[in-house]
Amino acid sequence: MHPYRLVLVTSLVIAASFFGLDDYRASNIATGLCMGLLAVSADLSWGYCGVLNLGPVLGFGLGAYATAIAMRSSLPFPLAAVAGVVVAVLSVGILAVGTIRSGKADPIFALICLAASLCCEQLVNYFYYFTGGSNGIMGIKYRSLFLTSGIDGSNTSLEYPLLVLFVVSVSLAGVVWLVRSHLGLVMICVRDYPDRASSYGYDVRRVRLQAIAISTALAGLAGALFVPIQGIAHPSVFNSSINVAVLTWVALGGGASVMGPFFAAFLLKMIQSELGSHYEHAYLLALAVLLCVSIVRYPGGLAGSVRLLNARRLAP
Amino acid sequence: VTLDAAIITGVGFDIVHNFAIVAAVSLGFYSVLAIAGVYHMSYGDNLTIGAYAASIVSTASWPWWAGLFCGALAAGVISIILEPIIRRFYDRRDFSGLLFSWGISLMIVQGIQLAFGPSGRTVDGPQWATWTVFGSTVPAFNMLVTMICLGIAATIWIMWKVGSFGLYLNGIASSRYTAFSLGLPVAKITTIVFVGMSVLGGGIGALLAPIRAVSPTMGVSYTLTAVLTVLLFGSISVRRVLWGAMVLTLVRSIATWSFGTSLATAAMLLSVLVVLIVRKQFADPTSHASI
Repeated sequence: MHPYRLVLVTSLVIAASFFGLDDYRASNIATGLCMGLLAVSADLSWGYCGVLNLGPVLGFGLGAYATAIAMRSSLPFPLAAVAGVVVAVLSVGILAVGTIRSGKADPIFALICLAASLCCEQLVNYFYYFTGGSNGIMGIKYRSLFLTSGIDGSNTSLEYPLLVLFVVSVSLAGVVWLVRSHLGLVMICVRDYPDRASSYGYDVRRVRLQAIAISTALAGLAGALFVPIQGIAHPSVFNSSINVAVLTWVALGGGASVMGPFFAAFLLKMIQSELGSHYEHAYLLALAVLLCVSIVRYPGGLAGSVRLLNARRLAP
Repeated sequence: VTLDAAIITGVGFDIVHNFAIVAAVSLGFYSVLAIAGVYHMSYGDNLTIGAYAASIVSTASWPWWAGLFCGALAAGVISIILEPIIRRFYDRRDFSGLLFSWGISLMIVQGIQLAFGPSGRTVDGPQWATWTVFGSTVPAFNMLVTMICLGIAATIWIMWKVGSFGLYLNGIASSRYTAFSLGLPVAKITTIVFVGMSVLGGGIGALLAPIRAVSPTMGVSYTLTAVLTVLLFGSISVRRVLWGAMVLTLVRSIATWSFGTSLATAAMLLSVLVVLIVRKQFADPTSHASI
């Protein structure tokens, strides 16, 4: 199926599924959408440009916290989300400028981002005046932009999940457009043949920095969308287990495929929500096993398997 | 004057103690990276395995040195199982080995949480006397831990620098393919280094169990410290790793005294980032030619 059509069909199916659901399940679906966008953001830098980030939740968490702080200061949600995206891009950008280089890809940026995400978990505890410490920033409510229903004008039942779906769908369509554009092709060339891309006159370092900036903007946006669903920005958004989860979604869904990681993230997050916190450790253990198995046995992931099947079907 | 001497002695011992641990752990991590060409992200979990083995031994009221032995043994056994699986990622110029070992790390952490619970455990250490040096009180067991960790670091340094085995190691670190074509037993030496460093890691974990917080995630912070140490001055020689351990220990100590433990890791990360930005020559994990 054509990628744009797949995005449209997926969005319509999810939109239809919202109706008739209670608030809790609608929130779970919206959370799954945010995680799907986070997985796509990680895939954009790793799958398409070959820049691994072991701390993909860094942009997500920074976006979530910046949005929460802005919303606590009574800023409307769209402006707060923009602030979240800007903070995420600037912070990760500083790390990227210091560690990304031309030539073959190395893991320094990945490791520094992992360290930074773990640092952020400690820093938000330290600067409790701004961040609420270990309790996080609580009571973040989405105030309706379009509707006036609801007791205090907040948390109108379906408006926010539908807004999340709209933003995520537009973002997915944007990513599909990006990876099919000239920049997307250059990113793939930089991933596979950095020396050749350099000899063609492309600035490999700049392309990688662009990929990281766009990827972090998407992660920050996912974080910004995530906060009003949960009503809280908590230090656990920087947790290393979420980092592993995101990379597992990408590995399972298949790198260099927009919808593969999105579906993997969405489905696995829904399963996690259904299982609840009682099975959290077992779920994370299963996720780690899945990551290892997919790296060893199915390096192409879900999307790779689909491509293989299509190739076999079309073969003479 | 006595008070000043006591403070200086206490602070000095604290720095040497932390340096010894960071150096021992980082050199183990570096050895696996240099020989196998893999960022072994579950290296720190050897310490967790060792610490939990020591805690089980402690619960059974066995002596502390039995915990040390069992910790090293447990980490060794697990690494013997793990090494044939992780072997396929040796010297591959992609991120698969790093990701795979990180997945293994999460498996170990979650497995321990399922088996023993998420809360920490206490381990009884030997009830030894404390020594008073220049007015500062230093527990004898902490001094023993420092001496053993310094001994482990010195052993790894000697392993790299002295004798034919050191030459083999340097040859393999420079190029596995050239070393293999020259007839060196590359696979065997890699296995010995991988398992040997895991055993040392398990031993360090068991040694630290009575004096540090034992929790399922304790190994993650040691892996992180080792990674930052190796990245600081480049992963191309034992000497640079030791310098990195010294600098990071000083940074961490100063940050801890000034701001508390919450900012210590952030200060370490910041110092590594500043060094990486200032030094334009970045560490290259696959280049060990200048050993």
